[in-house]
Amino acid sequence: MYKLLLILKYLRRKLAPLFAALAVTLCTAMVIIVISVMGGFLDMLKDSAKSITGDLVIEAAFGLRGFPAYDGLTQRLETMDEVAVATPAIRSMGLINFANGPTPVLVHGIDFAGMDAVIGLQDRAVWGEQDVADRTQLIEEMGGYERQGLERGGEAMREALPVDPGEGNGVAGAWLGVEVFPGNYRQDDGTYDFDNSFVGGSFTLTVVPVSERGTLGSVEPARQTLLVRNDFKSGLYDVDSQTVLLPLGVLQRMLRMDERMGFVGDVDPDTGEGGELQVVAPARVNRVVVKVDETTLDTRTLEEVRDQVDTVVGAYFDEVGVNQPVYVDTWEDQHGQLIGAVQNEKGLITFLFIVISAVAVVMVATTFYMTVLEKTRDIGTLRALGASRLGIAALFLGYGLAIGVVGAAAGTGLAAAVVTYLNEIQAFLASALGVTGWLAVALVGGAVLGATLGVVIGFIRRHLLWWVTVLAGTLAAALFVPALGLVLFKTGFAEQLNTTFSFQMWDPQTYFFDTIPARLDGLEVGLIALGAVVSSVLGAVVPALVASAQDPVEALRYE
Amino acid sequence: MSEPLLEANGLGRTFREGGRSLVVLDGVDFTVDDGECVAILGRSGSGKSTLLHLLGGLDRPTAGVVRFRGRDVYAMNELAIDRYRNRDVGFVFQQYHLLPELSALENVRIASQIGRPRHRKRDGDTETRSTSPRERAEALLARVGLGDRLRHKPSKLSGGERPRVAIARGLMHDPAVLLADEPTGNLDADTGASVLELFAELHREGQAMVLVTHDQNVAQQADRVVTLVGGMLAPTPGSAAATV
Repeated sequence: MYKLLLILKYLRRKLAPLFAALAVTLCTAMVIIVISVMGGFLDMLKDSAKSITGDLVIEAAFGLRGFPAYDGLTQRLETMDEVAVATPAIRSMGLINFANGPTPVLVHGIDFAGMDAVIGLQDRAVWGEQDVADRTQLIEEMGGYERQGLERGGEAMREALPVDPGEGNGVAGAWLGVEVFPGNYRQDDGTYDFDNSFVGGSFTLTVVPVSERGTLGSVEPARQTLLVRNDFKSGLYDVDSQTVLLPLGVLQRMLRMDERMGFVGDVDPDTGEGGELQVVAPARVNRVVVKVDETTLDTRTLEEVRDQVDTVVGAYFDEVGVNQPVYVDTWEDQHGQLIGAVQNEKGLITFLFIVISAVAVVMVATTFYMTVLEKTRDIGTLRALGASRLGIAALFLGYGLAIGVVGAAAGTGLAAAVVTYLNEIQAFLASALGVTGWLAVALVGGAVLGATLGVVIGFIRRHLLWWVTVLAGTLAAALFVPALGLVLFKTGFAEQLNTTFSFQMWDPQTYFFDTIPARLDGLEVGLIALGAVVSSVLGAVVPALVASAQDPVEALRYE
Repeated sequence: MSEPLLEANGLGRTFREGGRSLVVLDGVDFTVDDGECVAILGRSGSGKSTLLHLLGGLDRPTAGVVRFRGRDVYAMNELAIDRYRNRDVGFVFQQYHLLPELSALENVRIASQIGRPRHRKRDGDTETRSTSPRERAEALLARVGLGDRLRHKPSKLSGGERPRVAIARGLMHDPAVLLADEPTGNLDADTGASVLELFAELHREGQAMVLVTHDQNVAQQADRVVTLVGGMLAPTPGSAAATV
């Protein structure tokens, strides 16, 4: 009981413990903010990485040789409780040609409706229905698509935006990753300037077919003109800068992976009669993208589902006599290198900040050691009144605990505020630091100057406090008011200030996300706060042992 | 013959520092009976405070024994000695050693918060076992004339009020013996006299006490006076109660 009383008294009456608590606060906040930003970055990266991959991908081991019987396979997969949707796709290398020359891309042939069900493709479209009106107006201002030789008005544009673009105007439609077309200019704030958007324009795509047996060069490269129907943004630069989406059937035909018919049997070479028209080469794809049932993931890991899907795929292929090898990957397997790198980075930075947080432990230890020295006689008194060594140790450990709890709570609150308003803080630092600093310098500078003058004059006039107060207030107002006037009425000056003095801690042009990704994870925050409390208690261990080992007589005589 | 309340036999205390030995107490035999007031006289460095610390269980003797009601204090384990200091003896230090963060009331109460209170009922004592520690602390402060200073911190108390808080704290557990080290050493004559009157009053009510002092006026209040010279007891000239 006496311990609690003294802990509360020590907390309230002494400045040094407040510094220790401040150290704990700052370290706690620092670690939480770093982990939240890194975690947010990682989450956003993962979410983006899933944009093309879905949860699972069944991929042909030999690339464009692909595998047949994919319709049956997707139907079989969709009978599984664990699978929500499965859709076939092809991924191939290609070259696209805008006016500025060929650019290598990854071409995805997809069933747009099926892919939308798997990855929410429509949500990633830059030109959603909300934007149609704006876009239509913009197109009209630019003279419409007439310059492309394609007559399109608002209504036609609306029709051009459904999930499956089909083949409008006799030209197949494609979606481009938002960074593929160089005219989509990414601005300083991370948003895009779409004034020169290529939506509605046409481009040429070239792919190289591979035969069913995997031979290359037996067929000529396929070339086709496509119409840009939409842009999409996954958030992952690697995806958005080199991905072209087009209808599965179109890409199948270009790659000669569509169903091939031929006469089988004896054909009379003279008449050309005889034989039977049959499918000589079934349609192929080289991947099937799978969305796993969300409730399944509550009880099972994605890896477990992957293994089960692998078994079902193997059984189905055995059943229908397909012997092309395939492998099943999770989306994390597919983007493992990038995600692993960020994960490692998060771990490394977290470790570094935890090491830095050891400063808090040292700070607490130092503060407590000084407190123990300062309280030596009190320790002697308490021992004389019957307090045990254990009781004295518990007093200082409890004191450490109290400082840890106060510091951790304050740190968590600070971090929560910073993480919640991180983008606002960033916006403030980037856009209003100059004016704010200017006003602060005027106000504080005036007060300091006035106080200095006040000290001199007050010393001479023997009325120090009065002169300091009056002159500090007067000069602060005298500098602040004109400074404020300049900012308010000379907007050019304010802009110049904000341009000259700005701090951008997150450059959206460098990073691919236009806002700082940050999220607070309850478990992480709880563990960090607990770690801060434990660190604080650890910092108090040595001083507590020193205090408990004090000889009571020597402690009473301590000067 | 009844058993003494507190007894020291052949008590010795030697300090070792830098390879040298300093004998502070040497073969001291000493007793205090129930309700008795004994003054220990001696010059500075004669070992008075060391003897008081040994009697109160704060130090460890290098020779001899201290018995409280026949029980060897230093043969007990550490927790039992802590309990002995908390329940059976009360200290009043020369510097009072009040805890600066606590009010007068809290300073007195803290003794009961460290250990369980055990109030003996004494003649003329109106308190009962059902008295709460807070009520007892308030009563003790009222008793020493500080009923209106309960919330005052030590820094806000006068030089004459601080020893009174220290005495009240020493009495909080109703100790069998009160051990006071130069209780008037830092006080002016008038304040010292009023504090001495408080000790005399407690003594009249049957409180056993040991007063360490170099002041003859303090010693005159005692039933018995012993003198320490160079760590050994010496007969006190002119004192009828010089025998130990």
